[in-house]
Amino acid sequence: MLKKLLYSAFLIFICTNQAIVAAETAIEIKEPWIRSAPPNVSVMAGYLQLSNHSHETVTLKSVSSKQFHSVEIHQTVHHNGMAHMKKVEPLILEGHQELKFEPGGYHLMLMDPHAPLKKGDSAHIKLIFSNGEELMVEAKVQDDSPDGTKMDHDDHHQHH
Amino acid sequence: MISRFKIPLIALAILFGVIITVSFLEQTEPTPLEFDSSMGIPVMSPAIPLPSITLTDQHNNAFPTSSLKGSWNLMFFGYTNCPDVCPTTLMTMNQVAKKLPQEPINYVFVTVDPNRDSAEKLKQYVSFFNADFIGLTGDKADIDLLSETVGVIYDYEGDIEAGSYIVNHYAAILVVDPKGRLRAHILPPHTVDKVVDAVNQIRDYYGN
Repeated sequence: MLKKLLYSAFLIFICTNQAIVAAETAIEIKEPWIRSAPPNVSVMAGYLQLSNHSHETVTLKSVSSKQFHSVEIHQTVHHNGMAHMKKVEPLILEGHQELKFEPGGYHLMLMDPHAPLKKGDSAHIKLIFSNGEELMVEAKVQDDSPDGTKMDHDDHHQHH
Repeated sequence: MISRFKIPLIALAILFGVIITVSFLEQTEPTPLEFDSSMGIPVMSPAIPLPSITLTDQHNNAFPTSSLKGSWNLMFFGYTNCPDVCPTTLMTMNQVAKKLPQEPINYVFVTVDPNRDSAEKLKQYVSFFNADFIGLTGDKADIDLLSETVGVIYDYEGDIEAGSYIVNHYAAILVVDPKGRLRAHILPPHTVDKVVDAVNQIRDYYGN
């Protein structure tokens, strides 16, 4: 009985503790992943979802990974069938803005991996924001987006 | 010396010849297949023959464009340092290939960055997506002739001498018919179903 009580108290502690942590960071990063790529490539693409829970506009000051020489934010823009890559600098998140990185749109351009990353491997990516928050995410290398939507842009348009 | 009377006759004969040729062409080229404009699948009518050039495949073998004759082909132009669009499209083409397993379709990736993309590099790259896919590189002049003919434009951005540049490129999947002619462009975004439907409709309409 005492054990059970302690266990419940422990669980409550964990839950509330996590809620406090989540409330403390204005920026939330969800579902980071890296698109699997042939072993010889010099660039890989990473995707994630950024949410700014604060009222303030927040700017991404730097993004880096110890497993890559450098990391930049790029956006693929399609115009008349032409795919342009635009470097996004600075990346600005308005108050309460959510920004989804996805194939054919915003992506992390992960340049010159120090060692090839295979499917199932993961990379740590560090993002530093203008509000002082430093977030480290672990992105797994996989074939498709974790939410399974992949690049079905047409479907998105139909649903919304 | 052609007599005065013969000139109108010759003109008439030429005109007649033109009319016959045009009507013959019209007969061999059916009414163009049209997709809803929102689909982004412009169909070429008449189809545009690919230039007769020889590229190099990923096994370092000569690959004349005539090798594409005999079956339908899906062709995509890109480069191996392309992080987002090319892997996305090649993965889509791999899923299309899985959905059309009975069809002898060639899936062809042509680099628009031949200086960096050797046959060896293309081999590793293309086989990652599907070992049966064809990767083509070659002389830039040949690739330019091919890309211009089929309406693929591209440009380099960055420090070309230092080898640090990206390539902005036309990202449609091209449909090439069994006579080696460009039949349609499938514009991005590419969902697997969109590409499969387009290929099925085009192939059913124009036959082999």
